[in-house]
Amino acid sequence: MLKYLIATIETLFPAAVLTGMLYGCAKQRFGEKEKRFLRIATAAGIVAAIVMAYLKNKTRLIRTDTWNVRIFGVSIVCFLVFLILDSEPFRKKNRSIWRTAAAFFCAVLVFLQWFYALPDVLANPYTIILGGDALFSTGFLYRMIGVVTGLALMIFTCAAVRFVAGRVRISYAAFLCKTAFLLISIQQFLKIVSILRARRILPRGTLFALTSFSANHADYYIYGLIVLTAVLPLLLLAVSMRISEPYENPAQLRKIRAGLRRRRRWSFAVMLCCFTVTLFVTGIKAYANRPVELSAIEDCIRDGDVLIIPFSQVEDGHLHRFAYTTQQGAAVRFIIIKKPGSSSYGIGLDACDICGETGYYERAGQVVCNRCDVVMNINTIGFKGGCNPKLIDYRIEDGQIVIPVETLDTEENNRLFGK
Amino acid sequence: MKKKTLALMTVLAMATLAACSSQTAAPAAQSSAPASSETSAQVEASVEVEEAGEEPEVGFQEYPIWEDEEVGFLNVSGVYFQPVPMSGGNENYEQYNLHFEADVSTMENDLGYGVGEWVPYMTVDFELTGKNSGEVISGTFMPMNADDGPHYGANIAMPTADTYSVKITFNSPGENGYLIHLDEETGPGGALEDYEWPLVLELEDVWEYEPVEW
Repeated sequence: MLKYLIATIETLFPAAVLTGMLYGCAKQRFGEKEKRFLRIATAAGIVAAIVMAYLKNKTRLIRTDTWNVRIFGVSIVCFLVFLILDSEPFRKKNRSIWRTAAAFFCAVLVFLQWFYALPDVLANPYTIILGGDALFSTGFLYRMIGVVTGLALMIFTCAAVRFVAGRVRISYAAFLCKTAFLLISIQQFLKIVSILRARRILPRGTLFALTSFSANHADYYIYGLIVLTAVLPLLLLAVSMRISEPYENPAQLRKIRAGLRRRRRWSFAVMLCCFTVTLFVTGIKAYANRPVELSAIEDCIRDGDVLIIPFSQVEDGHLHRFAYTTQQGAAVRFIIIKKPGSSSYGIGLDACDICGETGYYERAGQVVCNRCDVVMNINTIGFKGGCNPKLIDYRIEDGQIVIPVETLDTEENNRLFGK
Repeated sequence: MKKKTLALMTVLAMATLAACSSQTAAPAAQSSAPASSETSAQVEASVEVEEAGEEPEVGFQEYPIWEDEEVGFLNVSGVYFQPVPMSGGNENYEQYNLHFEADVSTMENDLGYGVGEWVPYMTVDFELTGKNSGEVISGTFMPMNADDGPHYGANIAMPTADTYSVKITFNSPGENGYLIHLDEETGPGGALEDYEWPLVLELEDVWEYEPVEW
């Protein structure tokens, strides 16, 4: 659940704050007609994202990287045009045509934000089922709770930023909004370079140091946006603590006070959103992705060329881990678990063909692959194939599991376990 | 009226973006051609990429890592694309960020394989080493089929952008019970033991990798 919540936040946060900022600036700078562009663009972006989510997952028509190049390219161009149209010389002319044009490019930027970010979030129900979770399963439910919570948080963030940006002095709001777009445009430009280079349209090595730094520090863009967003409520709070407007009667005073209270509440809401997002993309993300510590390796009896594990040691239905050091010095781990409702045991290496020697751990009575998080069917442990543990030879004798060391001492196991 | 405007804007916007495709692909074709001072195989590969760019029904982009490296009687190319669900309990791919694939085909040989055929029954190990991070990602490929035929591949997690060296180790099909006729009358003339197994392909700093949004 947490991973899906964090992924949704990371995907939608830029779209949410940039849209909120643009709406806020538009409220102060544009007329009613121009503001309608933004509303239409948002709705169009959502509709287009739904279409894209369907086409991307159910047809072969969409190449994500090609579409990303288009979206990023158009977005950067629109941002640059918007910068020009919103510059001092154009604004001084005070002609409605320039204002309308600026609003149009703002609207395109809003459209592109949602068109880019939303499809993957909307496709989650489909991709979760594709990943092996049934529609009516706990796994599906938990994951979708994460997605829906993230979506709700981002919609609220967008609304809160919109309110605050619409009441901060326009020059400050516009500066923060443009800086935020500049930050995202830099990231988008580097992503374009990366895609074109991977497709060998740009020569090998083109800006690789820069693009790889950007890719390895993608969180920095989120942090940058959080900082820029967090400045907005501070600016609004600074002018919302005291009454500075004149009033003529108690009714006007009450109205002004109510307005200030509202501003303060929304400012705190934005700060709370920024804090929550920071928490999720830092500490909680680290917690959600923390490596699982495998349970300790248990002792077993070595008798000549065999290892002996008495039933009494492993009959509790939990996962038991053992290890044998080969002649080449590799610690080959193997696992034993008693199958539920059965007297038989699932026995195999603590490794599979796909994920290597990453190991398995026990979570809520289930055996889970430490790398790919696949939940194993305990009853199929000991069968060949897929994510199942690699097979080893063993025999049952006198209430004991007997494993010949020869089966663990193979060259393949030495390779698998690091020697 | 509003609904009409909304529908019109959506269609217009998507059409505008779609129209950019030819503008994006055209310089691609132009820029890849003069840059191809490499081998003819690489030129062919770029041509394939261009052709694929014009083919609307193929929905995913295979990114080439290297092409046509030869080891023993094998010709090996490496590609990657989005992680994919696979049968046999490998449906869950959320922990992975790419599907790494070694396309193996045979060259002239005396083992009975036709030229250009896939070689089944090999155990194929891979090891990727990041130049700057020092990160090592290793594992064993699984044999599988995609819509372009059989290959050895695996979903892997590669979170760090870096320049990677690649080492692929091909173990003999004989280890997995694959046999070759040895008699004069029906045998192809050679034996698997004629080759020095494992066949190892090592390519230094071959892969400038960055995580891709699929």
